[in-house]
Amino acid sequence: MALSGGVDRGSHSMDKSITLPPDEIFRNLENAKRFAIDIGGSLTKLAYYSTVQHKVAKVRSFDHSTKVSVQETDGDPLYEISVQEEITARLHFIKFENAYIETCLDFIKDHLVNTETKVIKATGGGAHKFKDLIEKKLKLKVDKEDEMTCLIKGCNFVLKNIPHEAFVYAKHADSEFRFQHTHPDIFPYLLINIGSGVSIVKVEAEDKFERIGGSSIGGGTFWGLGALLTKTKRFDELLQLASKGQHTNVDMLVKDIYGGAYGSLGLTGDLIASSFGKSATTDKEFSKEDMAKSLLHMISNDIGQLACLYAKLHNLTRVYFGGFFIRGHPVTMHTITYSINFFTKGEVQALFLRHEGYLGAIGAFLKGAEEDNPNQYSWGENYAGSSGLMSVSPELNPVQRARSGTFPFDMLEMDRLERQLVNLPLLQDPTSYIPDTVDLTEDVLAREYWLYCFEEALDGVVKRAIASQKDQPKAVERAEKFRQKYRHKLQTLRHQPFAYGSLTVRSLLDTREHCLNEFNFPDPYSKIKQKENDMALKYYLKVVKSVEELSWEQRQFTLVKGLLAGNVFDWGAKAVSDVLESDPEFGFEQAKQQLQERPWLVDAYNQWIERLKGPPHKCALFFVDNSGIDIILGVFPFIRELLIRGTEVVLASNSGPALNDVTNSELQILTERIAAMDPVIHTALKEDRLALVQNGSSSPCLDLSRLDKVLATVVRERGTDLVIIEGMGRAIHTNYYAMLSCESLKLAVIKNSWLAERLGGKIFSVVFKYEVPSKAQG
Amino acid sequence: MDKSITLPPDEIFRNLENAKRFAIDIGGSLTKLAYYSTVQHKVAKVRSFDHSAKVSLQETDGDPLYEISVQEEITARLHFIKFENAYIETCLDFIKDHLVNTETKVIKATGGGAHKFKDLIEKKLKLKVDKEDEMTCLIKGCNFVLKNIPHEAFVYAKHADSEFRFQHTHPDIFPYLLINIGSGVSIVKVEAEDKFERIGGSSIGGGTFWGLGALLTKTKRFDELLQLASKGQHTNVDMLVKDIYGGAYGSLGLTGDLIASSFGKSATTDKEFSKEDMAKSLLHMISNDIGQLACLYAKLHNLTRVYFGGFFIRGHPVTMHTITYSINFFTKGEVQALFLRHEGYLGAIGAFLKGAEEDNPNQYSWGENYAGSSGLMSVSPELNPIQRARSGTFDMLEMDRLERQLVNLPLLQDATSYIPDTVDLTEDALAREYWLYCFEEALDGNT
Repeated sequence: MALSGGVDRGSHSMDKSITLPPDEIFRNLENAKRFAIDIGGSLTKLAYYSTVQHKVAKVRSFDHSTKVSVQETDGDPLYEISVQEEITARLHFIKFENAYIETCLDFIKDHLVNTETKVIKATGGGAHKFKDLIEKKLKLKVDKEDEMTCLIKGCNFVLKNIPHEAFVYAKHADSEFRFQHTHPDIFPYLLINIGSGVSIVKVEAEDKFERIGGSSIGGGTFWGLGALLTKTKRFDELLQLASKGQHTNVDMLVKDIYGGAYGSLGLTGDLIASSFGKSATTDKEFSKEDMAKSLLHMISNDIGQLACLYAKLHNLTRVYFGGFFIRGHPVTMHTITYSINFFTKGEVQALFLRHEGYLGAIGAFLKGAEEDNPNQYSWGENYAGSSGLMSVSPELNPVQRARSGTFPFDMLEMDRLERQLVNLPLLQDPTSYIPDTVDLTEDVLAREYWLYCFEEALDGVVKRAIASQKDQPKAVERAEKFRQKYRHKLQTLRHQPFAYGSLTVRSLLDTREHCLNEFNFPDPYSKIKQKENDMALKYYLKVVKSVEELSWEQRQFTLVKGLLAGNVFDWGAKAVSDVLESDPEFGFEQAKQQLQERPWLVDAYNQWIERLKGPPHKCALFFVDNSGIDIILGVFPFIRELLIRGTEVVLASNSGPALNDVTNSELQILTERIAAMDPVIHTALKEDRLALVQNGSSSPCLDLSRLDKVLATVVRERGTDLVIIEGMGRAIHTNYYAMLSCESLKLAVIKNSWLAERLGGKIFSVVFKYEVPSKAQG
Repeated sequence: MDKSITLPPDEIFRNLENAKRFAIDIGGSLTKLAYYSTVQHKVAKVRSFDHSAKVSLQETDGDPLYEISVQEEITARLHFIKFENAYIETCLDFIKDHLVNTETKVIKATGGGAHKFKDLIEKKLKLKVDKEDEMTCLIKGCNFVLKNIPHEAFVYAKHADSEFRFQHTHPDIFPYLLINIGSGVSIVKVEAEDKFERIGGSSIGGGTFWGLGALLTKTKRFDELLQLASKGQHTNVDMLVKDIYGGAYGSLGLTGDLIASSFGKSATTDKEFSKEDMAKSLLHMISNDIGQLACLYAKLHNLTRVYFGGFFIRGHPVTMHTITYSINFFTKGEVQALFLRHEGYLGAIGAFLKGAEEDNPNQYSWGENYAGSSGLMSVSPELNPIQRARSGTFDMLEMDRLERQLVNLPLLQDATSYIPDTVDLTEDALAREYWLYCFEEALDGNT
């Protein structure tokens, strides 16, 4: 569906009769419910709330009530899988140049079918200028919202809901962008909004903010004075001039006055004593570049000093910068950062926001959606539908951009998560918790390896996706679209590893899941999981019996080995999926033989055994990993022993599917089946000493700062004193260094030779990490 | 400018014959010379006759009580002369010719121009140039005038009956903030005679007004730029709050006339802007910025006395007004912008004091000599340089050393609010006219 529309106000040279690829930009418009628009001096940001119909794989237990023993179910699958439609909520944000506004409004009008909304919330300086146009085109009443309120609301929203939203900019560092980990409490903070002028706003709570200062020397001053001095009328071009200039030709430095440093006052010779001081007394001509650079320094330094003074006066350490002066411009981010470092001697860091351009639109939208109470939900950035940082390179000017065919459209999509996410209460220090073990934005070698690895694995994923939906319409076509999308994401990340915050193995995995979902492959492993679960259940009693015959010492070791062997079965790891595909008979016993002999790569087994000789734990929280052999023959026998010891067990599994990880609904059925065979499990379930909770995530990795609220409550109520994290995704790629306030066991088999080598071992090396918090030891 | 001027030397470099110590402060455009000299004065001395042999009051009838004799007395005086750098060579020649009795071998020098003119001074005067730290001199000088000159500091109010409202000297001058606006801005916290710290600064100062102003208006002289600014309308160039929001931005407490963005209109408008308007906008931009910084530093350090100095301020009602306005705006009246009558001399005074430390000038009290001092704005900045050259561009300050140290009467109820004078004639225009007339009338009289 192509759209062409001519909007020509004649003031710009740009060709506006563009053809929009609408399915890619204004997505889900048919179901759009609420609109908001933020029109700035040059960019328009449109926000709408829509619903997305997704296919989800649901599992449902067959009715086995009439059958008595396990043997009788032979041949029947354990549960049935049905693909159902599910509707989820999504927020769409699109940013484009004001020049496209009419074209976009026309497009929206044509595609707005189901909406019942009568108003569109509007904010930004341009809102009143385009009011009539919007009302005429969309037949919606424009309802203006206070600009600053929207800005702050939007800022609070992204800081709360998007991990890695804020970053520090360091021009000359290995990775220009250093993302900050979300602090559980985002308040108080200072927001320095550098638009035409500067507003300095102190934000103390969700609805409590105050403009404590401001300055008339802002982006408009750079632009206005710059235009007068250089005859260059475009903001972007002025910044380009500045980036090529030498300010020392125009500015009077300390050394120009004193011949060197002014030591007694602590002023270095290179410090700018007087901006434009040289042009006061010199008659020569100054270059445009030099003047632009001098102007940029003058304004950035001034704002930096004001920001730092207000931060000090109000005792604030978190200072975020936004506004069009900053927005995606490395040049200004650099000068502002430099200035803040200079004035605060490093005490305060200049922070920038990945979605800074959207704050007003997000805020305006939230104002309009207050009755839906969006703040009661948790939201997650959808990597498949979001452009990522710097997707529209500011280095290109609009003409170049138009020519190069890059659409100057930037998108952000956020999914509403059905459950509220909170910190695991057992984190030793939530403020310093970092889920990911390796930051691929900083580790170039690791980045290259993993990007290569994910690209290599792509064919297999596509194959499996198609196989999972043999009978479904257009499966091949959708799988191909998925391939293109994910490959494009990987290419983007190769050049802009910072696009979605810190690049990690987790974010690569999550991006793949988001892309699969996007093309309606909600659970490509559902059938494989089903088959594996069926198969493994048959061996459950046999394994349990063989373990019971062993001596205590032998039993403990066998249980741990079983746990590790079970973890070898992991479709997420390429080496393993290769083996499984070629040799489906690869069994549990064989897996045990594959395991590294003790001493393991990380081996705290002896300490663990010593601990087991002591009193039982009160309650163990177990973050489980894969379906099939892993959960049934590895995890269950292990927790069975814990239950017998008198320890309560909470099994935490994924809320939604990811690879072959067991989901909460699958685990419910499996547990029932095991309880039917095994009185220990049966009794434990009945007495509520064994509980199943979902973790709130659909990722093969684990972020302990974003867990289901119910899980957090259960953990607290039961006095959990042991956390077990299993598998590469949850215990190695993430949480390897996580510090917990209780005992913890992290175990995994390294099924990737590159990673094993990096850790100093070989493939199938074992990590068995048992940690006791230092305060408990002391 | 014609530099071969003939100086009326007896009026300017007075008492040069007895000059003992020299100091010089050479700024970007003005030179300030300081010297210490002695003045031979006729004084009327009274002496009692010897009445010891007589017993009763009655017996002295007919004899005068005491005798009066006129004697020569030598007192100490500080001379300060300020002139444009253009005259420096002429002045040095004149000094060389008239320097007779001095035994001094060095001249203390400070200011950015000190090293530029070092060789010239050493060649002409045969004195070794001894450089002193600029900021130290400035602070020393500031402490000196605040202590010794009543009514040194004033508040500027453009539209008031009397533009200058002088402050009564506080017995304790510390702590205070000095904002020195030269090419750049230095913000100095002064806590005691010898204790000060540069707590902040900014590169947006007088040099920025001058430099950017020159680029924008092709006007190269600082004074002319100020004149342009005083005639301009900044609202033609600046983007105001009402230009963006159509009126005030009430919820943030921003009035419609507030400048939202300096030069904001020139970003998107293609029209030509007048030199006057651009100069005015620049002046506001810089003054407001300095005002805000001053007020933030004052708050951070809990200081209420904030003095402004430097060539950006020096005797320019235009900048005193914009700075005052800005300080009022940002502190909501909590802090007043204070200016100094002798601000231009601070560096020279300080450099002189550094050289005279062995004489310990701080142990004496000093008094401004009204006869030998030019007074505030004697060289009006409103006159252009050519007019000034005709009227003479020399400004003078003379201070007499008082032989005794002066202090408060310990019985004053509140020394800080004590005002000796009953009527302030600067403010009371009718009284002022009467008394000026009265004194003029009385001038002819010989009793």
